[in-house]
Amino acid sequence: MPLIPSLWESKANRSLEFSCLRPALGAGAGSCVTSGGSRDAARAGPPKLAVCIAVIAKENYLFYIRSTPTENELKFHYMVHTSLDVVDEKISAMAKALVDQRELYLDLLYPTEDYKVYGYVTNSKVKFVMVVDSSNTALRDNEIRSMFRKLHNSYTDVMCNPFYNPGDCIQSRCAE
Amino acid sequence: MDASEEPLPPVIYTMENKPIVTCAGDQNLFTSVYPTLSQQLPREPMEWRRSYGRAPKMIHLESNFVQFKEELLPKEGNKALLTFPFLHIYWTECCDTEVYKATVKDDLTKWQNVLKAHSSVDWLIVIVENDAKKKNKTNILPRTSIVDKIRNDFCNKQSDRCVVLSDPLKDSSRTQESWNAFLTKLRTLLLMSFTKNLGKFEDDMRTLREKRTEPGWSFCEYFMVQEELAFVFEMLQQFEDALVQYDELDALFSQYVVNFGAGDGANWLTFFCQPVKSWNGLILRKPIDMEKRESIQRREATLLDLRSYLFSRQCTLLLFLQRPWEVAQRALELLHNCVQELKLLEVSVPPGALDCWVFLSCLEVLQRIEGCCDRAQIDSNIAHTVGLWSYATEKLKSLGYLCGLVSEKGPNSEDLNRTVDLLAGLGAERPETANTAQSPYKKLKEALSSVEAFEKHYLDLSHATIEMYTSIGRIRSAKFVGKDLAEFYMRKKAPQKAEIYLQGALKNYLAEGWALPITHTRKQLAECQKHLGQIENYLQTSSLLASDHHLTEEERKHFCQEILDFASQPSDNPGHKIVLPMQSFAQLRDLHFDPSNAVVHVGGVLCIEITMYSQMPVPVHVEQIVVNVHFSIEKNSYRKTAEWLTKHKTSNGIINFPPETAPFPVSQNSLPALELYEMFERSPSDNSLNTTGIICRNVHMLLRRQESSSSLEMPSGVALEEGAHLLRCSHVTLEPGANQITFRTQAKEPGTYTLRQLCASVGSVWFVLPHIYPIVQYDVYSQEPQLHVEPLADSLLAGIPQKVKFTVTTGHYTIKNGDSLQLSNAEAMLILCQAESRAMVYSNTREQSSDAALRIQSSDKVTSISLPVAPAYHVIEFELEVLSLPSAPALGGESDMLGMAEPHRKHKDKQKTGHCMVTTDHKVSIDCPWSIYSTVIALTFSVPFRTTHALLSSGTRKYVQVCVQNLSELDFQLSDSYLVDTSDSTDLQLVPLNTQSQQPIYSKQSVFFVWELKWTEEPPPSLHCRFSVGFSPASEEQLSISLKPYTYEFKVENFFTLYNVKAEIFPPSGMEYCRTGSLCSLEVLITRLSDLLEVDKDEALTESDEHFSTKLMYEVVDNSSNWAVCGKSCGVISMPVAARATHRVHMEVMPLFAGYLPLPDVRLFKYLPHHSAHSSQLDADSWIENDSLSVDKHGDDQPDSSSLKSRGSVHSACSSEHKGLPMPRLQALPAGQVFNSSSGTQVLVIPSQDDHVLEVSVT
Repeated sequence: MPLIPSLWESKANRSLEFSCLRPALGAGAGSCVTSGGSRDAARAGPPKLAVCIAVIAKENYLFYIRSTPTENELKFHYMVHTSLDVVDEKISAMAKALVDQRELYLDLLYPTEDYKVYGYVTNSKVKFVMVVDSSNTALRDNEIRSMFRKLHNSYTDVMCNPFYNPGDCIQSRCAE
Repeated sequence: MDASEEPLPPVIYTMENKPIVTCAGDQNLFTSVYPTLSQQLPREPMEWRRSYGRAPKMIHLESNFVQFKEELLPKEGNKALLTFPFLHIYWTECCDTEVYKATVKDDLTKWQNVLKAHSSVDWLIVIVENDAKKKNKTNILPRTSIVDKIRNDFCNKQSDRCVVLSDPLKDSSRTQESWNAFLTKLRTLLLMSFTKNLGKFEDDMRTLREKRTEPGWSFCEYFMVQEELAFVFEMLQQFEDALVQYDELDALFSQYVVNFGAGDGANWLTFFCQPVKSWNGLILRKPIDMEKRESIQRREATLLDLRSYLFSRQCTLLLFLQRPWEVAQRALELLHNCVQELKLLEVSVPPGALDCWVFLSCLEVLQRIEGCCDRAQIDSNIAHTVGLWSYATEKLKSLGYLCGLVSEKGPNSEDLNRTVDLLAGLGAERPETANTAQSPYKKLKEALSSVEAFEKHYLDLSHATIEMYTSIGRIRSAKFVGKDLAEFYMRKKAPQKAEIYLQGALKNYLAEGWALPITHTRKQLAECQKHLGQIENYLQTSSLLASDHHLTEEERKHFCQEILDFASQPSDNPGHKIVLPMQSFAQLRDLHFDPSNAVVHVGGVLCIEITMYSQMPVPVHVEQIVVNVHFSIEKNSYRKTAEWLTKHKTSNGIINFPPETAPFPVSQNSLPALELYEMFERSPSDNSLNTTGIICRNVHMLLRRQESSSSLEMPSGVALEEGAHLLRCSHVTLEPGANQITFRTQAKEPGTYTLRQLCASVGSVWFVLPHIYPIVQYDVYSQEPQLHVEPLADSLLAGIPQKVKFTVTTGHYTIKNGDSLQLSNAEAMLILCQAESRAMVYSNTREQSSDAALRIQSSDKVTSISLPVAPAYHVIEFELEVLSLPSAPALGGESDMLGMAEPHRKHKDKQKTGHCMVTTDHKVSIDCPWSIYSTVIALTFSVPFRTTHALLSSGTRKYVQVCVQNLSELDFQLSDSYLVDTSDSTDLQLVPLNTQSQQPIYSKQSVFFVWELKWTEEPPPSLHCRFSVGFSPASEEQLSISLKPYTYEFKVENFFTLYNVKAEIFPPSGMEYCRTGSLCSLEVLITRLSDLLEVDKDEALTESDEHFSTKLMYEVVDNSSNWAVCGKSCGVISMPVAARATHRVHMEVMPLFAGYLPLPDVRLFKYLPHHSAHSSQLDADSWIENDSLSVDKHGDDQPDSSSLKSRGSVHSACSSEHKGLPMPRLQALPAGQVFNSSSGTQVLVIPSQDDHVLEVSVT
């Protein structure tokens, strides 16, 4: 594929770890049904949790995006970007609700044939978008929620890092 | 969904289903009651309490009343619910016991037996009572007896199973009442039956479901059972419950598919895995798709069939529930889900078949929803349907690609075959849509029929989708569809139509900084622009892409090569330039000046080294790199003078340029941070702070208009500035990454040069950086040669060697061999030549370039300093030692010894109050080789000492005290002090009382010297003395030259003591001590110590009878206010001029304080008559008493000059008043002539006894 994600490699000195990300995504692993049988051979690799996660700034530029498989990165970029439409819609609908009753989890943003896109928004309007393989039926709403919560915690940790420059892309070497 | 009220025979599977109630007994009777019954039954709702904790519901009951037949009763094992009779009613009008016994009872028994045989317990016996009949037959039994009989016979424990309906066809309140009772009973029993039978059914169903793990279990069978329940709920208009049944079935099936995918395959499911042969989409226009239902029943349905049927039922129920938007949402989920399930089950699907199915289904759902909603509703709920639109568009697109309808040439034979196969799978159009012009079926068939038709349909759909997305504000989605459309147009070779969509999408991605989409879209745009022949835009996009790190090396090289190819093309229009922004081509990283302060003199060479970071993947040969320079002259600006520039500009010469905006743009609402800098401007003369402030350096970023920032793509029209001043660098190859490029320029005109634009030209392509920011400037100056002479220390001290620094700024003059400075010697200032003195030569930027020995030749008049050879714009520095010969400020009018030197006191009073050193200016005129005029320099030397003298007396013995005060910061060593009488009187002797010959004098300290005056004969009236003392700086061990001593001359007059004053205070008589507040006596004794002397001969002296006497005035003054002088405080006495003549004065004084008090001062004045002629006319005493102030006191204390002044003014006022009046004069006796022998004595004063207040003042 032509697109090399050089975004991650550049500015190595600024590299900050999304250190808790692995456990965050790993949380789903516990409840993930590990399937056996010969059919699995067709779907190579271990069961995936989320195929793509993205952290998007309030102003809708990317803080962080990571997708597996990497060869389809462009597709996920487009997908996440398009999903912001729905995120915006949901946020503006939510704005009418009382602040303390606000639910950060935005639920399913929209399904596509192959993927499900879930959204989550922090109080500071930082958006988390997670793309899940549609065939991954093991991920129920609760798992998605808890993954988002973990992601949110990790994000908060990154923000707490005094060496992090707000607004910069978040660099992370270990993301699923 | 209004159910028809006609009593039709049960037609199953229509919406008109109602629960069946059978009627036995008197059919005629029933027929007569039926209209009222069927009308009244649904009128009132009834609460239906449900089992399993389900919420109770209010339900309007309707029934289908049919004649009782035994066939209607379900056989054992028949699970059909729709045909199940929920209640059996027996109608009778019988009121006659005979009749009852004869026929009705038998009939009833038979009826009951049939029911019992089928174990049906839901029955009711209705006895209709008719008043009319009663009247006809008078011999009838009371009605109740029949009812009782029936109850007795049939309802052994359920007496409520028998009801009486009175006069049903009359309009009376009794009739109404009886109807109500009957209806309530009927409803209750119906509901009871429902609850019981449905409960039983549900239990059976659950049992069946629990068996699903058993091998023989069939989903289809179970489906039919649960659907039966759904039908019943639907029949009861409990659509919600009906939907739940279908949803449960849906979930169950989904779970099976998932489990199947996880390897847990159920046998029955394999049937659903058969290859898809038909893809004719959802059918939603019929409430029940019997065809599909039957195929399920026959277990022949495919997965798509089952899903389609299930969804069509859900859709029907949702529409009943007025939830069309949920239909749309569920439809999208269903379609996605089906695609997934087919994939999961690995069902073989011909290519494109699913696309057809999805496309048809989408349109079907949309049309179904449109069919039941009005336009306004649809418009306000686009958000729900747009997904389907978009999905349909997507699928049509992929069909088009699949069937070769998008390619330029049209479909080939393979494509056509595929199309035919796909159309075959659609089957024939359904009858219910056959008449609809826009049916999904027709649309798809048409779209696949030809390239043109496809284009039309695809464009229609795309535009509709984009429009919908745009209308609900989903801009990103709209752009994404637009991008697909652009791709389509590109395939159709219509780049002009594609461009607008690509630009739109790109703008959107740029605005939010999504790097990968930007790159991808840009790549598409580049292709589009290439086809359109937009050379400039294409090159610009290419340059952006060539620098894009998200592309592979090959792609970047490709785009770079495109630019280079174009650039190398021989242009048919020479001189035509394609101007592109530089940003993407290369970035200016930093700039370095040499010299580093970016200041160069006229003719000097300035190097500017820039670091350009080439973004290109390959080395690029650049014909020239040009920096456009703006030249300006700021006249009359001190900041631009050579002095200021060379001294103040102390930057390191490196300017860093901020890296170009990061891959993601700073969003519009978050502005860049303020770049604030402190600013100090110092006065050119004394370097004091003139102004200070804060400067914001990026005002232009912060204050620019917001909308302009949204156009992130650089406008292609970059203005190319033409300027006269250019820095040029030719034939440079820019390697990828950082490149150093050096511009070299020779400064010509003085002024300020600002770097404006940076251009790199590659053939006819020019990359231009329109503004270099931050501002980069360099300055060119010219300078006149100058000479500065300044002391090395703060001030020069006279008498000791001092260093003076000479600075020659050569400016544009070049010092040749033999050039020298000619100093005309000042007499009192020596230039000390030292062999080892060296001169340093610096460049103007303070870099040392050389040093050379200095040759100094001194002659009588002229000292010549030969300068080392130095080029223009250099600085020569050297130091010389000079010595100003010391001089003492003489008190008298004697001419000083120092020749040309001009010793002077700056200001008399200033010198007294502030301890300023006496200064001497020496002027030196210097001839410089570059000028015909001489430069005159004044050097100011300060005398480090101040000397004062004093005459001290002790009775008649006299001492001279000389105080030498060191005013300088240095410590000195004093030696060899002498005091000599210059008049050389023989009888006078000066005896030094100083013991040490060497004495240090520290900075700001004083040293006193004392000599005793001794004389043998009558002392002279005045004494001229000269004090001299040798000095040398204490720090230096040895000086190369001998220094001259410091001298001080002074005169002492009237030093011989004439009078002795003695004052004494006595306590009041009878007291031991003085007390405060009580009068004490002061006795003053004035004694003449010598006979007539020369000094006495003045106006005051009077002679009578060989006796000389003089008039003296005494005055008792207590300046410290310790004493109050009572009575006269002064008086004039006539003093005989003879030795030991004594005058005693008595006065009264009162102590004001307790303690040891010093005595009040007693002063003596010479009392001079104003004029000898008028003196007798005046009573001087009274005159003085009247106005003591007007007495002119000569020789009053000098330091008290202010009081003197005020007295003078008062005096002048008085004198104008007393004009013409004679004035006696007072003259203070010189200090040496009066000796106060009681000075320093104190008197003890004790507080008075009644004085309890002790005043303590602390100062």
